[in-house]
Amino acid sequence: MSVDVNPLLTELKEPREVLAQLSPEESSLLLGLLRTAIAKQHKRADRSLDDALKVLPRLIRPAARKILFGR
Amino acid sequence: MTDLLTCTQIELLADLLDAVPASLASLEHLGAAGVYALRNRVSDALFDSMASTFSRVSKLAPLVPNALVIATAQKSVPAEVAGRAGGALGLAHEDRAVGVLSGMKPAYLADAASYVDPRIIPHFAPKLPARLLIPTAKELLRRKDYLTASRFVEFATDELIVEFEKAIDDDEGIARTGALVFRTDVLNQILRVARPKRLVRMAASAAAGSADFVVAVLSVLSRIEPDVASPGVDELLGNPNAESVSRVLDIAVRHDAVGEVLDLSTLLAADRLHHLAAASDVSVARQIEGSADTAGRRKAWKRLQRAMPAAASAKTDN
Repeated sequence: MSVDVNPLLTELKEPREVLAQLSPEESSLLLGLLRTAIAKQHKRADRSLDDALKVLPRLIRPAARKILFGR
Repeated sequence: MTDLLTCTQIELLADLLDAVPASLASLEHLGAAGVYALRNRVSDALFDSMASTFSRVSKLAPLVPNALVIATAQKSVPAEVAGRAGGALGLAHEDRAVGVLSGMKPAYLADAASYVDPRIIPHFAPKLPARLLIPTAKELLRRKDYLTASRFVEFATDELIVEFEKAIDDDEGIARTGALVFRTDVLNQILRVARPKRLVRMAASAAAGSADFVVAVLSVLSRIEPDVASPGVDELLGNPNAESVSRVLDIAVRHDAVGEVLDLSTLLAADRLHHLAAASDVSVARQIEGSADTAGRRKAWKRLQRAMPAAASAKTDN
């Protein structure tokens, strides 16, 4: 299998005319940064939800936890 | 100086990806429009990946009244996370957006602002009252966070422009924010809606202000429609106060903005052009001549040169 020279174009598809101008290095750098940023944002959001749950009034905490985490 | 816009877009993309702008410097070859389009797509991908998280949070709404949302967010949710989630939550519970936002501190909102999903800004811009947004806008300008401010300016409605113009006194902040706005049609619209006197006042403040302020005003004036720019150009470059104009010229020389001066000189009527010519000494004249890199600029240079005192124009002919 050949190596994808423009992985960001494969991933995002559009805007094709801009993505097509990326060098293979730029494309893989950007895709790497995008994946890292997505992972980081999910982690930060989950941590914030945990923290927010802790400061919610006790009375609504179980219901809130169930909605957020299904448990 | 046109690179200012490309650099701005690269900086915004780097912010979005939590990267150092220098690591993305090579993207300059895409131009401002290319990086702008790329940034919007990357932003969409990031926000779309968070959609399921946001929709879970959104289901909490009936459990949590506004006052509790405000207290909980400011106490334990980083502004970064609140900014990202704010768009989706606001869309899902539009009737509560004003209530929640008006209870939050401008400092918290200003922290959150740079993380907001750009897609929701045009949706909310016509729905949020100016009084709710002005304290946060002032806070952003106070922090000199012109980059974040510029993202919102792009979507300002005519009503918001009028209110902001009245409420915000910071000429330098407005000019430096405007210089970062990618869409020139938006700049034209803003300056058409705002009082024309304000542009003249801004040019006058710039003439006596910091180098960054002068460069920002030169950049804005050279991008907007000639009829909108003209009164500001008269004030900044066609001013009878030779000392003031020569200070502006010195700054333009040091910051690689003489090409813009030459472009703007074409908007000056003969008497105004004479003031600009009189304020250009031999070395400045040589710099201006050196920046005449297009047919239009060469023509502008010839016109300016003819208005110059014999001594300055004669020297540059050699």
